[in-house]
Amino acid sequence: MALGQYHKADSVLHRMDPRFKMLIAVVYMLVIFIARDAVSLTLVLAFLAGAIALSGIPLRMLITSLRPVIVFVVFTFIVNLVFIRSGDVLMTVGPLTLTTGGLSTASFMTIRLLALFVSTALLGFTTSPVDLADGMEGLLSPFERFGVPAHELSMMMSIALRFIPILVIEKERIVRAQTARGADFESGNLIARGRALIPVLTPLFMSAFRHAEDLATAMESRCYHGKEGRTRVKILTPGTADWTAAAALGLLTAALIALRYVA
Amino acid sequence: MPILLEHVTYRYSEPDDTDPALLDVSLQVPDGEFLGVIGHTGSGKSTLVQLMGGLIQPVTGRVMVDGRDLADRSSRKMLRHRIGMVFQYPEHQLFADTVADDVGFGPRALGIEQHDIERRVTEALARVDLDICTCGHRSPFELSGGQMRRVAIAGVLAAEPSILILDEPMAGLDPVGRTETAALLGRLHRQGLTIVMISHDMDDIAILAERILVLRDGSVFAHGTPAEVFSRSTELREIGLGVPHATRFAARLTECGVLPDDTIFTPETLADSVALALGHPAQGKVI
Repeated sequence: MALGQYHKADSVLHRMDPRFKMLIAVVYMLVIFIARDAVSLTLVLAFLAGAIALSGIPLRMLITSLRPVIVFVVFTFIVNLVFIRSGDVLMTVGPLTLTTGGLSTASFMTIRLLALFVSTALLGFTTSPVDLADGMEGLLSPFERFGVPAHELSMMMSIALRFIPILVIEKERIVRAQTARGADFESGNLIARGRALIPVLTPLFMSAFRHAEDLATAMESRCYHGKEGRTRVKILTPGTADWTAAAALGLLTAALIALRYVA
Repeated sequence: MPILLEHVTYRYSEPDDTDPALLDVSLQVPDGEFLGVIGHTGSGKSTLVQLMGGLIQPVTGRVMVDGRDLADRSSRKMLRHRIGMVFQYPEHQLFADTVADDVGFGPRALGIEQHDIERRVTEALARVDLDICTCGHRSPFELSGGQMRRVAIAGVLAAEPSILILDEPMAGLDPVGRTETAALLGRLHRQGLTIVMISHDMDDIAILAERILVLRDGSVFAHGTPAEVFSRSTELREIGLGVPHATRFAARLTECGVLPDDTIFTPETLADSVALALGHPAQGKVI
């Protein structure tokens, strides 16, 4: 969801090796769920705060990017708050009983979810689509011996990301044209609205196929024939920042495991 | 129906520090006129026609169609089917299984009765020189490029508009398709439609338009008859626009002293003038 909203800047996070960034993001998202107490959660958030500070992404932009998921987060909070009954009773409103256990579980869940979304957004903001595809290819290449088409998958992903803005513009054009012909996209029930999308989706698919064919012709006429014998402009080499970030994440993971299982 | 623009300014992004796409444009298109709009990329042509179609609203100023302000939602709704918009590459908006179905989309959306829809579809296809019996049941996607475009134009005509606004209707067509489309537009205009057409092709504009609007950086650079506008050929070339081939050729002949100094912009008048200069009576036919 946060992918494809790259924000160009020059920061430590932007310069990191995309393979490390992606791997660290994935591991971090798993680690978030080990944290069960206040101290571990603070550590988790501290790691994220450090990443944000090093990302050069304005805080406001990160917060705006959370807008689409805010309903989901609030819903999760309320469900947890209402349905979990443990600890002391805080207050009773009609049939609802709010407990301390419910409140703490709800708060923990909300903070975890927000950390999850912010870390994804951070990856999307600091990694260009080309870097994402390169990183994905790099991470998948060890699995090539088991038949995973790493190069093809990453090429597909970069093409897909590249075409999102083009298709968005195309969609707007078609909507405008059909609106001018009298199409109505805003009234009627769900079924009527769904049917109203046919005059938009059909031309949009046609145009996607047209673009795909043009692109295939263009790639072939530039002698693209898959991975075999291809060299790279940018060769990925992990630097100090990458190893430091990996080590920091290792420490964080060790600390969280210790807090949860040893203490 | 007449179109009237009063001091219209339009901006694409909100903050006022950006350059407006259109700045203080005032313009009148009388009922039944064929207006050609020319201008460089980014001069505001597409913005202008979208304002005329009521698809966007001006930041300041008014757009009036048939005496009604398009800023008003109810008059927009009332006028929507009276203003037909043909966008660039209109064949890209085709979607239905058959040509007849696609052409009928507009009238169906307007809630018109079934038998009337059939009549409109037949008539609209006939207006673009297509026969409902031979191609009405075919898929629009198996037609030729020129035919697809005419089907798309028929889809707009089926709403029976009084104003037809076209953005580069000839772009990407082969010479046959261009001639057919030009002839079609001439015919529609003679049937009484008010037409506003954007084009990059000065020859098409010269032949079809009664008046020409030249836009430059969002402002009106020139507005007048083809003779008035194309007589300023030096200025037009300075802002990166051309003049019709006939005008250029006539200018060369004037330099050589063959023709008198007069603005010529269609091949026919050029032929007539040359014939006259050579001592023959005029024979050129009017398209």
